[in-house]
Amino acid sequence: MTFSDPAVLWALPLGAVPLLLHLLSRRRALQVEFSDLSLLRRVQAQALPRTRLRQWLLAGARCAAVTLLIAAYAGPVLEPQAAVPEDPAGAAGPGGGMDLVLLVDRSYSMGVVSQGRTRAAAAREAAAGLLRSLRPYDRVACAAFAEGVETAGPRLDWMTPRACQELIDRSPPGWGATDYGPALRAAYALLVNSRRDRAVLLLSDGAAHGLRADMPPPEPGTGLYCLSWPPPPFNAAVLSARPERAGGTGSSAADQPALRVRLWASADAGSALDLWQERARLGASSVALRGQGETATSLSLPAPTSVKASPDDARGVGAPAPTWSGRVELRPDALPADDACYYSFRHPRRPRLLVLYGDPAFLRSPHAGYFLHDLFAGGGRRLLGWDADFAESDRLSWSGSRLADYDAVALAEPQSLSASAAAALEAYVRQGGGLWLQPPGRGEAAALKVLSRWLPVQVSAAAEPELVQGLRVGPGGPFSSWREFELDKVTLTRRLDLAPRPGGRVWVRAPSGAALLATAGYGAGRVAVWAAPLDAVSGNLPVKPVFAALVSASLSLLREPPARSRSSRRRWASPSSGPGRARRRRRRGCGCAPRRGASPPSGSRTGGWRSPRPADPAST
Amino acid sequence: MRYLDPVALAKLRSLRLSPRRMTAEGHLPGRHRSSARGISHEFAQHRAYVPGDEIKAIDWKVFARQERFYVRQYQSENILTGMVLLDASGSMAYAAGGRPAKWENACRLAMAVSFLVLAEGDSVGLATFDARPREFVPPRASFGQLEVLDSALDRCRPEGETDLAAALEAAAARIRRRSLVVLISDLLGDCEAMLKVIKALQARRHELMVLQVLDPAERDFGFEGPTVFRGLEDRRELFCDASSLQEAYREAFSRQQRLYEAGFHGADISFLSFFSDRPWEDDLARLLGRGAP
Repeated sequence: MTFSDPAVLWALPLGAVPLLLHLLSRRRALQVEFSDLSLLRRVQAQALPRTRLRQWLLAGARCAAVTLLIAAYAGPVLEPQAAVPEDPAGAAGPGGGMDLVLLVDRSYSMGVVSQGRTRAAAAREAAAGLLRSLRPYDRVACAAFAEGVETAGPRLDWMTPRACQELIDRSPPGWGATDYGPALRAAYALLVNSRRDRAVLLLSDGAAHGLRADMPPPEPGTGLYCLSWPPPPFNAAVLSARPERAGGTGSSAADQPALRVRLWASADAGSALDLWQERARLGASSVALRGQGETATSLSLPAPTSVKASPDDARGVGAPAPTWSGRVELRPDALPADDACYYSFRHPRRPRLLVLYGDPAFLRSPHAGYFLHDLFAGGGRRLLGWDADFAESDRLSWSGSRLADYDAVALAEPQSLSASAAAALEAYVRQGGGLWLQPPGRGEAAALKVLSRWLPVQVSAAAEPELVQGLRVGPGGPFSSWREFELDKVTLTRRLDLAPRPGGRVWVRAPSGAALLATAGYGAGRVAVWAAPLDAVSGNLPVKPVFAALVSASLSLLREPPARSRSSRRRWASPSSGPGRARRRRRRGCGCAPRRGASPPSGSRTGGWRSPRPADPAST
Repeated sequence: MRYLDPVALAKLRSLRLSPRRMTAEGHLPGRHRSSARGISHEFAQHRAYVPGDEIKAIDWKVFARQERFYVRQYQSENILTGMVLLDASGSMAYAAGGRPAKWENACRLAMAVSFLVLAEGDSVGLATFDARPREFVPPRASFGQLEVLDSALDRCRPEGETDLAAALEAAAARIRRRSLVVLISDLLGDCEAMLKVIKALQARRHELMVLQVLDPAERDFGFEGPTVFRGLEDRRELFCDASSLQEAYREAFSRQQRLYEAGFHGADISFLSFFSDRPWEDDLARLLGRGAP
């Protein structure tokens, strides 16, 4: 006789507990005084042998019951001493009976549905039939495995068929990979001392990659058996679905969102790929899958205008960052768990620029608008990474305009500005906006007089015409080196005199030292003033490569944090309070222009990547 | 008196203790007829004259009719001697269930019997014993004897083992005349030996009355579970499972009682068991009313 769980036999001394209780019960006897014990002694003498026999029989029966209970819990297995005629296997094996180790695969692939049931269910049924056919003197052990071995006890050991079946029933397929090595090693270690017929049965789908390392051969006489399966059914999986980045710098991924989907298939086939946005199916596309390999495809997502606004938009803070979320799904196949992949991503918004011009011909050559429009949105490209809107200042309703939706406003070649326009611009700059002033084509400063009351850069007509030949750029700015821009070949025929007020800064000068680009802070915002017209009549700057760099640098200067010196704040800061102060704090924190939830004049929304710039102490 | 209070005396006044068959011995004249011939008014018989008889005892009328000398003899009447033998062994101190000890009941019974004997004008004495005689009060026919007996009982404490046979042998040696012997004991021990000794005492022509004093616990044996019994006589312990011995003990006790009753009935000895849970006066009245001495 053997035991399935011999460790339980260590509890056999507990069988003496009833005997100990019987002996210790005398200590708990009641002490009583009695008159005369002679009669009692006679009675006891007559009844003692019978009573004692009964007591010892009772104690013995209790001890035997406890002992048998422990032995039963240890799982006794009867085995014949020698070959039994009725046991044909006993005659074959030296000890009779068979030692069988069941290894149940619970890897991910066991969840494949084949012929209406999963492979794990088929393996479970096969194991149940095998366990029912075991003879009483057969020994069986069971373990589940994926990448490691899971046993009922601390190690693989003999069990009862019922315990094996319970272990198999509670080993559903998981998410692990297949590795036969640890399970086979444990089975061989258990069978190494067996002198009976030995067999190891792998209840697995026979994955070819399951044996990751070389395995020592089993002991001679040990059989290794596997289940046979029908040919694996077709299975396809979605490996990943990630947003596809835009290829060029001018196009935005937010404008043309797309998903890069990687697929895998077990065989060459065509399959339908469904694209879901939230809970709506946007469409289906047919994909030709390559067998035993990856297939990549792109799926276009709807433009951000049709995307539901984010919760920030509902609060009216500003234009929302467009988000997309949903799933990419193949049609169900043998393993439906890998047929869908979920995605969720968001594109940050781009900085926005509003270009206000006074001359209706501003957008035509040789005016500066022609070059600026080409720079910001010409040919569907965005060279500077800004989204720009162009609007005629005379047609703009300044009272209802939402300048706060823009990170910067470029006032180009203004002819005449109304007081309300000047007040709106002042409020915009004071509350954190950036204003870029470009003088009229004739280089007149009169158009800017209405702004002179608060403009931190004093603008006046030049004392005498000067031909500017070449530029000198001061330290700092977005570019570390300007040598490749051929600054010496820039020619300007007209310019204004710029005098930044204390706290301001001249960033580009003429060779004579005259200021060409000056910046200064006002309130929470900044103002940059370019001294010369940007049209092609007043110079060759628009047609030089440095033009795009200068525009980009000017816009970057406008996005610098405002001056922090006490003197400048005391002088230039307006006595604003409330929302303006709060807006300043927010602008210092994130380095972006104030925004409000409103549509720009063009009514379009744009977005893009934005890299916040650190504060430049030199600019203060 | 400690063991004879006025209430008990009032109950005892209606009782009489009269021997059924015995004749008194002694020199003091009393109410009990004696087997000897003596001076009294009751003619007993004629006897042939023998030299030495008093001349005045010759019945001259008979001589006139038969010309032979006959002497007239009269029935003698003496007082009865009562002797109370009281078991003072350790088992008499047993008490259970809040009831009075057996010794208490035995003392009251001894005093009651003594009072009844004295009320008949007889003398009464007391002898206590355990394994050997301890206290002995010689019989006297005076009510002052009650005080003596009460004080003697008050001094005595139940202790030691019982050897009733030896104690009765020793007590019988001190009772020379035919007497009324009242044995008060629990009669626990060897039943056969006790019956043998008591019958031997009766063979000395004493009138015997056996009063057995018991506690109900000795009859019912209502103990349960493992119990260590400690004897009051030998102070030895006995461990047993009381539950398993309960039935056997009750059966043995009942058999012992039946043996006592049969033995005493066969020897014409008055016998009654007094249990502590019943009034002893009622049992005593029942005993005397059914023809006890």
